[in-house]
Amino acid sequence: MTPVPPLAPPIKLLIVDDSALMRRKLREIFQQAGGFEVRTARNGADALERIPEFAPDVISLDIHMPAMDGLTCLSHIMVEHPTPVVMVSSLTEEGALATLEALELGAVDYLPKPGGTVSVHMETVADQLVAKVRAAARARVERWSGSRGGAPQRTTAKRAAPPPADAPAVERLLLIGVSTGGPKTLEKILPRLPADFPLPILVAQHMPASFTRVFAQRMDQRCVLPVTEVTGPTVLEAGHVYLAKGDADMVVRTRPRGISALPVPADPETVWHPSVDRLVESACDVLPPRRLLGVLLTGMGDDGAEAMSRIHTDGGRTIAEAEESAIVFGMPRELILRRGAEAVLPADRIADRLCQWVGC
Amino acid sequence: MTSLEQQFISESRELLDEATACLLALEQSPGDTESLDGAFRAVHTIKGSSGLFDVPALTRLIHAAEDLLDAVKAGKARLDGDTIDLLLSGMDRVAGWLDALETTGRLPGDADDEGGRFADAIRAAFGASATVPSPAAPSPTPPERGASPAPPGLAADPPAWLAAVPGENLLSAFRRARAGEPLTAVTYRPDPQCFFQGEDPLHLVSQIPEIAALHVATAEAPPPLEDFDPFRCILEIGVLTHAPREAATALFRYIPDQAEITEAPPEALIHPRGEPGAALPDERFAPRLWEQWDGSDMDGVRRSVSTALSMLNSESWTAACLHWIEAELEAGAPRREVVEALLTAAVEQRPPEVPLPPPVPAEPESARPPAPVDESGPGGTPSAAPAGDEPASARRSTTLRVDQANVDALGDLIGELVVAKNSLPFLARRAEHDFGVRELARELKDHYNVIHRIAQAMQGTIMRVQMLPMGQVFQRFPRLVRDISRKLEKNVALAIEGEETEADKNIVEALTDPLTHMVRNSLDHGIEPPAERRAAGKPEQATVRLAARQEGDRVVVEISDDGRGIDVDQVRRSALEKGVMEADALDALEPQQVLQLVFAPGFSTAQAVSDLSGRGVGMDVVRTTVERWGGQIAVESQPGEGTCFRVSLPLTMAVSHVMQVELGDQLFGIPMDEVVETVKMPRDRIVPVKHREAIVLRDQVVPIVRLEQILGLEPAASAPAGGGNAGGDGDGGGRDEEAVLVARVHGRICGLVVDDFHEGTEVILKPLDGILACLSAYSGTALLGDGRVLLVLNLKELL
Amino acid sequence: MPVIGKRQTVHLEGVCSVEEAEELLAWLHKHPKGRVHMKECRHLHTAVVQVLLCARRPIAAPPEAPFLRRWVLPALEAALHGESASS
Repeated sequence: MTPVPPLAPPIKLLIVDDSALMRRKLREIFQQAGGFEVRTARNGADALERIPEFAPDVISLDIHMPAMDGLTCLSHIMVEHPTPVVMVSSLTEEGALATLEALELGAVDYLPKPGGTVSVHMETVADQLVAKVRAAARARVERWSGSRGGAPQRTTAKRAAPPPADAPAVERLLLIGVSTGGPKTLEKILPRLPADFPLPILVAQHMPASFTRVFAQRMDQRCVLPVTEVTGPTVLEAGHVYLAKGDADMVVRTRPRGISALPVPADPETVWHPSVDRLVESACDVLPPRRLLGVLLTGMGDDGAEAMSRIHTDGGRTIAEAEESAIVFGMPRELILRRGAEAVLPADRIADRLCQWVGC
Repeated sequence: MTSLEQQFISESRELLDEATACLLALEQSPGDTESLDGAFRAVHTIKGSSGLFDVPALTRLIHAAEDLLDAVKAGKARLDGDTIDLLLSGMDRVAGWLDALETTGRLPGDADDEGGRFADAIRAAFGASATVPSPAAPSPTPPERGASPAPPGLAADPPAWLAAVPGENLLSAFRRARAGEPLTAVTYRPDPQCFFQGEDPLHLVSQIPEIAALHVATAEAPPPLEDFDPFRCILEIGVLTHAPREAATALFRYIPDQAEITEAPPEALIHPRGEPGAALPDERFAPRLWEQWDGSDMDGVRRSVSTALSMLNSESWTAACLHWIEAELEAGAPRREVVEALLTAAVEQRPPEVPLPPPVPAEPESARPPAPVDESGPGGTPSAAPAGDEPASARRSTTLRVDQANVDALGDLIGELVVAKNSLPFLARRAEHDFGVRELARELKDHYNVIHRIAQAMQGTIMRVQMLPMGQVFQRFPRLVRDISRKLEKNVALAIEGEETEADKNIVEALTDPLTHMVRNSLDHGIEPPAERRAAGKPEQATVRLAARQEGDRVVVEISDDGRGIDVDQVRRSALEKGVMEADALDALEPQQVLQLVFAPGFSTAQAVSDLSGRGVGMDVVRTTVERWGGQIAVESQPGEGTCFRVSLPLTMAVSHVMQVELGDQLFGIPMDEVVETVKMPRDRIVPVKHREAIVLRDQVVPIVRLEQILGLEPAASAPAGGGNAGGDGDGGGRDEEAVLVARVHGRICGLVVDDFHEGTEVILKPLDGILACLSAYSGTALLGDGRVLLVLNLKELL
Repeated sequence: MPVIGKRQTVHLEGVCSVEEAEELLAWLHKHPKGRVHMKECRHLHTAVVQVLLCARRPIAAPPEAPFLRRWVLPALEAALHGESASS
């Protein structure tokens, strides 16, 4: 009955969900995985009562609950007992809004609620849940300051017109790969890039499909550069941020109308989508690596490390986010270990370095 | 049914009730945001949980309800009476499905249709267009339709793509359909993003059995190749199949929004195609044909048509029409109106106006909410429950609210039946030994086996009926803890875990008092005042934890706190003062063993409470109660860190197995799980040890006691002489043997000297009640098959 | 690799998955007169069928797999001949 005792002390996980059924399912998943000490709470208020005594390493928090909803509870946690929190949400667009808000409030990550179509692949989903919670348990959490990052709000109208027909062909690309903790981290980078940034910017942020559209909209409001989700073949333009559609991969291709990004069905061989490795590899097929800039930010796993280190080896330039700012120091660490990072920088210094490199 | 499913069903029922209550409240006061939130959360939770199971229809309906409530929350939609009616009838439908799920393990056959109808109607109610390029959603069948009800899913109009299917495919499908085979049309517009979800629409289509025609075309003009997005699906796929509609529906159950599946009337296939111009060879053709028809000369009719066909250009429109006539004539009962329409079409060189079968529902798409559930049934498929026209009553018949007393009575009766059936073996034995009718004895035994099986099944069922979640007991504690801790000016949080753990209702209820006792004790004595906690470097807020879980066939409940713990030395002193134990015996005990003394009778008096900076009040009462229900209790404590009481009880009051022993003409029962073995021991092997007796059994010294002595029964002879008084049957008399039953109690082995052993039997143990309840020597009584009452011994108390 | 371009003919072989749609599209775009050889094809993903439907190219060798041959091929031929695509 008891799983083999793990070498490390068990991760103390508090599951907060108003559905006894969901609590039970989640508890089963984590107990089967082993290495967790699981307790449960029925709502936000109940959770806040249990946190001081249990001192969980990580909390999974349902968004809709009676007595105190997930977001309210989250803000209490971030102020009173900063603890890594993983939101459990349904992958709807409404869910996306609440979840993105939660990420801004300081939640480390989010899990799809086991259910809906995902229940068909319960085993793989269970593995992901466990992996995400394990990573989150080690995440660094800042006490919430109450401000929203201080990103400059865009005041001037964006360049809306399509590029002139004779726009110079795209010669260089900036590729950004990011996972857990991404929304908060990207907010420290993208809004600081100036309107005349001379490269197209392609971002692969691991996220489900229902989130990326909402996320692109939110980023668009905070950035000088236009931010769009890539939902079909899109010809790349300088100074434009292209966010890969979730649950799919994004590749760069030479198409009849020019160098384009297009979403392609996710490669089932890899776990994380949109895949950073696949984006970077496809860019290397289209342009020589020395014309590429790669940035690998916070996230668990190693997606992107292999392909970005190839950029570095073949004359391109790369940045890995430094441990001091990475919410989960996984992907950047892998890039550094592969000796693929030209620079290792905290998130808030990356934008300046990029501008310096591209000369703007 | 897995227990997870069971939990889903019961939890969803409660949530449905909650949602219903909230909706009703909303109807009374539309601005009541609390009720709105409540209703939303309830359906949201059901939706989330339903995803764990294979019930797409349910998920779909509930999802629509969630979206509607969300829109209302966001101020994008309003709830009027009609909408609330719609939601309520949707909730009723879901409740009906849960019942079906519970009894049959799946949703009724028409659930996919029903779910779709409700979802569309609900979405229509807040103006959300049904998802993606909605092919005419199956519209609700109007209940008032006349004598011949429309088959479900019969399209108002045959799908347009039929016109593009090659004539020969249509003709052969028509022939098979007129010969009585089913004909189903599937119009499938895959979601444009479906490739990203790993779908392969044509692969799905290829799994439809009996395909008669396939139509694949782009639903919109494709862009030039330069701009073509290879991963955006823009196809419309039409399939004609001779598989029954349900077979196709089953394939598309996960994407019901993307496919319209209808039963097509064969007439819908009639699409002659050909070059205009060629006229019928003979203008007398039609009148002659009708003459033959009226004379019932069908062979003549057929000959006329085939002769005409042989003279026509086979590519012509006229020939095409005649081919259709030919096909219609092949059917068992060719219809004049069809032939007429085709003839006219041939003569006038225009498409035929074939009358489609009468009951074509022409309801505007999903504009109308499904009729309230109790009317929407008539169109139901045959698979619908016979009571399908009154689902509300169907629901009532599957979930009953009954008086607890009736369930108890039923449980008692079943218990008695179990016992009564045990009289059959007695009878069989008598038949064989006393009356010498072997044959009858054998038959009695056969019948006994049948009744035994039925009785066991009944018992299992009534046991499940009587299971209750521990939450029933736990739910009183938040309030209790809050009130008491405020009174005591202590800061205490209550944590509850495992409230979903289930156990027999009697046990759950029997736990109430002991738990209350222990929680009160914890608050009174275990938890320190805030100042003391602060001084000890503990958080000011203390925690009392109630946790239940199932362990094998037992339920374990822990009552723990992070208070000051129990002072072992205090317990020692107190035990000494109260004379609970001798000093030297006390010294020999391990600290954990000393702690268990708090349960000793006489230890905990009101006096002891104030003396002892721990607990005490009536812990012996707690233990007695727990043990009366077949439970055990233990305590652990760490000074300064807290105390934990652990109660373990059987999950059910199922049948107990007892060993029967005889003692002075009386039968007693001993719980089988306490019996280690029975031995017949020569009397001279019983040796005195100090002032007691013992036997040596396989090199182990086993102390023995004489049951009649400790029960205070009149010894029939001077006790140690035993033997002679053995009332056992057979050769007992002068035998120099003692019957010794070796039992294990509190982990210790002990031998009980009795007069004789009888067989084990299963009994329904009833705790002693009334004035007898204080007789701790007995754990209960049971009725035997031959009508005698068996007293079951409580060895834990006796020894 | 199941999509193989040989001069003016593209060969679709074995099981053509969704990925191949993009590759086939690029090839057909580069070879406006290219033809499609499908004899060894066992399964075509719908995305690939869709590209073929829209590109309307001559079929050099029809597929032998029963479902493709019986139902998909006629639809492709119908599209090629400018009719509505049905079978």
